[in-house]
Amino acid sequence: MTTVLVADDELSIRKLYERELAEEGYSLVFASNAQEAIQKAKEATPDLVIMDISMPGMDGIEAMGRMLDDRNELPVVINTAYSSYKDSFLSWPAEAYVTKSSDLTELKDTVRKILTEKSEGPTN
Amino acid sequence: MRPLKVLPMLLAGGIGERLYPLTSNRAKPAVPFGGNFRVIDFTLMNCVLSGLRNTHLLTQYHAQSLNRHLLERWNFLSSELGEYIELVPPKLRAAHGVYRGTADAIYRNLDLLDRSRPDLVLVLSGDHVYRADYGKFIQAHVEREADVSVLTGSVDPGEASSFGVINIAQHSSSGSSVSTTDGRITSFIEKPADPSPYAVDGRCLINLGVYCFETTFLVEQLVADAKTKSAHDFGKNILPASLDQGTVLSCPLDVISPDAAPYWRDVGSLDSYFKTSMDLLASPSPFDLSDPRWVHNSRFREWVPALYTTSAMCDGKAVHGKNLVSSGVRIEDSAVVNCIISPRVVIARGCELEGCILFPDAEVGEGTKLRRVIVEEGVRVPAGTRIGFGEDARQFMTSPDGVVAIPGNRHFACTAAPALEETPEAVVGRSETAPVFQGAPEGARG
Repeated sequence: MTTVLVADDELSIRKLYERELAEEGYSLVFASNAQEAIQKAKEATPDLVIMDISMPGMDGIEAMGRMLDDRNELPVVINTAYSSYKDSFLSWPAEAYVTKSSDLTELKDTVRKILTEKSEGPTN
Repeated sequence: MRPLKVLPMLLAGGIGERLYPLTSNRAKPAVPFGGNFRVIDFTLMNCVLSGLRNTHLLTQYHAQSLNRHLLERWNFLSSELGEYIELVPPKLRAAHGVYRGTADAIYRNLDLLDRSRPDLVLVLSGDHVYRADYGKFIQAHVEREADVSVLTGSVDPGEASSFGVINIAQHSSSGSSVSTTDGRITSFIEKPADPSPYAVDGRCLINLGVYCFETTFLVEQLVADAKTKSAHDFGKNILPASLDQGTVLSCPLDVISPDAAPYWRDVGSLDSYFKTSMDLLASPSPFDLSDPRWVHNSRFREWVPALYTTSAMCDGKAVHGKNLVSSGVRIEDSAVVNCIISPRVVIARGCELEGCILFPDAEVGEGTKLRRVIVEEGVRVPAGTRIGFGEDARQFMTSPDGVVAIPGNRHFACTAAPALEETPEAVVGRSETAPVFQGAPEGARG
């Protein structure tokens, strides 16, 4: 089963994503901060990571960098309330950048598209 | 229109294995060159003389040697005016510890690009000896609306197989192969066994390792490459991949060199280092350190060592040549010819030195004979030593072309001094009590 790691410090977001993404048929793993996300990325070897940026302590961009140091092919979808991070070069290694919304359609479509492309084989 | 913001990123992290033992305790760009310079000085001088006074220097192996050199030599830049040379060590967070390639070195420092937000990134290498006006390079890049400009040299096909070869040929409608009129690069071939198919008018274009990138284009290429299992190298990966993504143009060194006959050398091996050094002593020299077009009215003219012609008897033969001699050198009554002598070197009397390079603070004892020898910093060569006459392959690191390198940790067994009258000046480098200088490497004492 496809495993998706969700890193977000807000419990309400994690609960919302648990309900919505489980309907997509993914096995979900959750982390409430960046350090925990890095650890779970090692343990659960997810197929994709949904990463919040603003979290207590280490931010999601730094966590993404560390995850990619270990697994450079790991797709990370940045999912933040702020669109301004999109201009930062440090966010560019993310596979996609989706601004948070109560409507999860864009996020779910993005995750599905990336996982489909991934399952169809590497492009390089 | 606001001026373009250009950020030079100077790659100075190579391990320099082919230059060993000169790189056993220092970074390759920190290897002494031309008596009073370090290899990296030439790229840094190019930067400053091109008006680029804010350089990030990406270090890795033996970074302290570069740090020391920058503190001593390059401390004239004014941080109050926004001028700096910033040493950037590798990020320790990297799981791999060290940079995996030249492209990885910049990818792992995207935060620097994000912070300074330059329009253009100039990617430079710290182990090349050449003169170039990067301002003209940037101007050509902008005028031709390139995404990447690659500085290129031109060599005979017979010499091209050790370089990255650049192909600017394209197939015409008639099926023949012709050069692109704007220098558009059509392929990169890394060290081809037979470069002749890529020759144009009997010459091959080679990649000189100097690039000008549109910043966003560079970041896009670095990010895409980081997700692959490539060597993360500019020449092997980034540039070939860029051909499908944007406009990649060749900029010949002739266009941006202040010299009528452009000169560029990679000092990556002992032999190329030695040969490039000896070029400084040639008549006429293809790379004159004191060329006024380069050092006129700049502080760099103070760095140029004295150059003089001389004749001397070496091994029974008359040899005519030149010497480059730095400050604080003391030479007693000795035959020294075609040598490059760094600061504070001491050569006792009765020596014969031909075609040698002496690093700072080296001492040569009386009656010593050296030929095509590189003497490391601080080494004390005992009186009566004879090196470079064909019997050193087992004792010393000897290059394929027969250049002998005496490493810094080298200790010598005591040898008998020649029958010279003892004077206070003649005892330099000799020890009356200790039969062996300290710290001899394994196997060196026999």
